[in-house]
Amino acid sequence: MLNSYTTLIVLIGVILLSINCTIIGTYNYLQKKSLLADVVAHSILPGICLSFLLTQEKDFLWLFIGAFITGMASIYTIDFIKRASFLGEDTILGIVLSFFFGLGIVLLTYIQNQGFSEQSGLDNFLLGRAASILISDVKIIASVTLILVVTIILLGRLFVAIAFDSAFLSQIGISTKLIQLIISTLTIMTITVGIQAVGIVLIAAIMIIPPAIGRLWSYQVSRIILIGLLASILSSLIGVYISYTFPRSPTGPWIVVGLVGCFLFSLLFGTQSSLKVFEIRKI
Amino acid sequence: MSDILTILIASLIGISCSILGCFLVLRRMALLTDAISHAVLPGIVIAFLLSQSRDTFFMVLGAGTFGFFTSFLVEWLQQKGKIQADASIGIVFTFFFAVGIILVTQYTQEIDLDQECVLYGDLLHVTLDVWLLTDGTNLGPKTLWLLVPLLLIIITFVVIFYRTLQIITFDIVFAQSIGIPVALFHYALTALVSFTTVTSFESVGAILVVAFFIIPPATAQLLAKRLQHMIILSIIFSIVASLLGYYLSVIFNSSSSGMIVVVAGLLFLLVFLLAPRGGYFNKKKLSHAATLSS
Repeated sequence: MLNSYTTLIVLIGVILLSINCTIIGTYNYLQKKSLLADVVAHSILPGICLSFLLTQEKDFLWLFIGAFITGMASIYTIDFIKRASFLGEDTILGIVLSFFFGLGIVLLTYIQNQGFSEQSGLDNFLLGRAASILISDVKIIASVTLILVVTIILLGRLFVAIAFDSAFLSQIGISTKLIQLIISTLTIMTITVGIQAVGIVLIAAIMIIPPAIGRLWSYQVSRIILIGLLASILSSLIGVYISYTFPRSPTGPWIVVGLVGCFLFSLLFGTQSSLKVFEIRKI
Repeated sequence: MSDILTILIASLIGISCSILGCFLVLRRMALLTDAISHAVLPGIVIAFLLSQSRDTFFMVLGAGTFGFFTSFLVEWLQQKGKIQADASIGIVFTFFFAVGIILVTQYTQEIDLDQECVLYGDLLHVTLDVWLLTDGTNLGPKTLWLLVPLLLIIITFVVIFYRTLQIITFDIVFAQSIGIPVALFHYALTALVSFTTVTSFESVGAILVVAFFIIPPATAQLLAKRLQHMIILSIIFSIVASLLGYYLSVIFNSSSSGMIVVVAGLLFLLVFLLAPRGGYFNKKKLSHAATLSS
């Protein structure tokens, strides 16, 4: 399987992507904000379409900027509505998610009906096409991985602190808003570079499921990340292998199926799992 | 004529979703609709494959089963698995959606269901899909024959059990203590949500239907003080959104379901900013006055 150069590129891309998602997903999970990733992923669509409409080409940089703007806008809209109304958080998430996605669909269908020559492939963002990963995409994904790893090494402790005791952070003079902004920025970056490969709905899965798996084995953040990484890399291998063997099968969904397999295994056997179905009782 | 039919279909979907949505929004179950609407996909595909037809009965059955499953699994993961709420919803619906996409791409030749339809539907296509009798009598769009009975079922359910639903929505502990079968009503609501999702699936798609469930009731909640008013207002909002959204989509030559959602969202924003009671500007004015007086 590794003989094929293109498959190798796809494999490396997908693995790096799931590493990114797992790392930043864990910090969102710790803040109980897993579903924010889902909202951001949906909100990126109008940004991508807008920057395509303005530039008439699929230049990565412009698409990235557009995606970034609407992604950030969605996060700020959620905060804004949450502060100023009595609506439940789940309702607000639902409103923002579906509004931005609706806007994205309006723009996407508008572009498709106009018949721009360059537009084909924009709909890849909806469900993703891992097979379309090129070496240039891998470089971009890898640079995000690098940024993530460096930031986590430098600021990881603050990211944990904000999840468990944000009052403490502001007391010692660190701006929680700034830290939150950094986490949001990293989340949007990760989603934007990965969305073409696995699509809007399923990128959220790769951010949500690995930390949930890690949490079933440990309560230490570093171990949650490591175990999550193990599961997501394994699932990426499964996904790429299956779509390589059965060419009609898409990669992204199989990665998710793999992850859920790991999750079920962890739910049954995990040392921190509350089920402990197969735990041997100590006498 | 087809304009009116499209708006009628969109409005009927909007009304069904709004009525159910009011209870979902008030019970903080909004994201469960998001989960269910994604999760019915494999149910629909499996029903297609098993029955080898677009027989509505099987589709509703398949979707209902998966809708029930989703709601059950989310609950189970939270209660028994002690998985935090956001993650348990996220895990269940992305998994079912992934399975659905795998099935769609695998059997794309056998079933007449494309990936775009899954995501955002096609109102115009649904309007044109009419029910012709063998002698050539045109009975109108097939969807209408599903939407009208569904709406009647929903209205009957809500009218008959109005008091009970009200008690469950606002004070679940009290409801349990006086012996109302809360779980039964929970799953009845889930079932109605799944049926509505599958009926409106071809028209508005899996993701946009969430907007129909959540946005008009949330807008109404900002204005209403009573449950009846909230339901009526949300119905009005969804009809207005369907009407405006459809005409805007014709002008801009784009997806009508998408445009309806955008209009609904803008209406929400308008109410959110200007509402007399909890509106953003009003609140600001009030707090400003409070600081001045102190």
